[in-house]
Amino acid sequence: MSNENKFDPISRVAKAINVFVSKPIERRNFFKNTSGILAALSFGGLFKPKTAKAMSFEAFFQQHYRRLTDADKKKILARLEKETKEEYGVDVTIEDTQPLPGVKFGYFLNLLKCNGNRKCVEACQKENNLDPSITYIKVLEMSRSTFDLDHSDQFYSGTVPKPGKFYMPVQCQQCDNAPCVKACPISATWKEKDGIVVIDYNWCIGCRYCMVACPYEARSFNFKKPEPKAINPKQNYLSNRVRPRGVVEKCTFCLQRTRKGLYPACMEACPTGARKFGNMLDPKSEVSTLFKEKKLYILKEELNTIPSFYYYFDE
Amino acid sequence: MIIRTALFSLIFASIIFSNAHASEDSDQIKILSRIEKLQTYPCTQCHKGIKINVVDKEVYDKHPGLKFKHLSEVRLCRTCHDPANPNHLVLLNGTSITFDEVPQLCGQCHGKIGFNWTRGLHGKQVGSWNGEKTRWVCTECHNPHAPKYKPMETVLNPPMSDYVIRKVEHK
Repeated sequence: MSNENKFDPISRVAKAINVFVSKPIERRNFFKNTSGILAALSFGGLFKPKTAKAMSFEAFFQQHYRRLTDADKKKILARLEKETKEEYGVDVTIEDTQPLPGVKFGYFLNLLKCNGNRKCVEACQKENNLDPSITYIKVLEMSRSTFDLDHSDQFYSGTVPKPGKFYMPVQCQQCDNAPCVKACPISATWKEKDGIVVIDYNWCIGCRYCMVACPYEARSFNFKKPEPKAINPKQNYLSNRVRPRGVVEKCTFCLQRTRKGLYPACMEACPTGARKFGNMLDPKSEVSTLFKEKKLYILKEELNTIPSFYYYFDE
Repeated sequence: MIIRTALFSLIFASIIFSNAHASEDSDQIKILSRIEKLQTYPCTQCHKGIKINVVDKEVYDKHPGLKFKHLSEVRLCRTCHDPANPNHLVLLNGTSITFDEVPQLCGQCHGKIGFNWTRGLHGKQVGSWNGEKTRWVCTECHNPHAPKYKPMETVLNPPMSDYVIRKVEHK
């Protein structure tokens, strides 16, 4: 005794599909069996989604099992540019500049010149499309008699320099023996040939092991979707493109600028001339002269992180 | 003493105005011009020569905004300003230089800082670390009559973040 109603449209369609599919589709499991086919077809491209945000096959599987050709990379950058345009309404260009050969960047900071005005922090936020709650550079106000980081104050304000204090900006030190690179469980962060430690934001899973590992607290996490005040359209895949929610970010020595030969934004903004930047491998650059002549200090030397950021005191 | 200053200024001038000194040959160092920013330039609008040699009330009245706090024991205008040509400055050995070459003048007394400036270690440079850069002269940041660096106001004052734990005052 069968309960089939011959005029039931679903069982009719089920019977029609039954002809083409080996597994018998009955009325009861019609939706269960056909939804899988529909999903596969949409990934394959038959049902093209209207926006770039909807997961494409490539985005879902990250295509990490094969080496990307230049054409693949261009497609990925074009997709990211399109996504940024949809999210934030700004036309941007995302590049992937390679490190310059024979270059290792060094950053030198004169602690007698820094007066803690934080113009570097502001310029960094503008250049790198940061959410206003995140700063790559943290300026510590410390008492002149001691170099005690535990009693430093990051949240000072008013007229600087305050009497009896000196100011020390801290940002990612681009360590040669970086603990964050060793801590990342999926190798989403690595050290490039010119010394900069970079993060692939599409690979980062947001576990924040690197933030725990960093002794300088240089890394920040995007707890919410970043909303930069104004978007800098000249972006780079590894540095200042607008990041999604749930990834870690940090100072990249403005590699979108420095790999083209420009100074980083913080150096250009500093009104006292406390910051010096250049190629350590060039014997005629200013930073090589500083490296040879001055008494240099690095933070937390005992941890053997070998930073690329040096502090000195010089009138 | 004269020979020493002449030799020093010669070295100084050759360092500033040649490209091949303590940096790569491909480095070109442009000096940001100061003359364009001087409000009362050219001085020959009012001065045919500088006769007054001491900063007194008349000088303060005629040049509003002037504060003299540089080596207050030495209040002689003609130490730095060329009496024959008011649009120029003068070195200790009598050489007349333009306002754009003022690091030569300041470097006569502030020798170490002046030398560091020629190497790019003192002061501000913008542009390119491996190519053309623009260097700022002394008077871009320091008022020559009151050169001590002024205090500034901080920007980006806290609260900077919703997720920041504020310092707790323990009693």
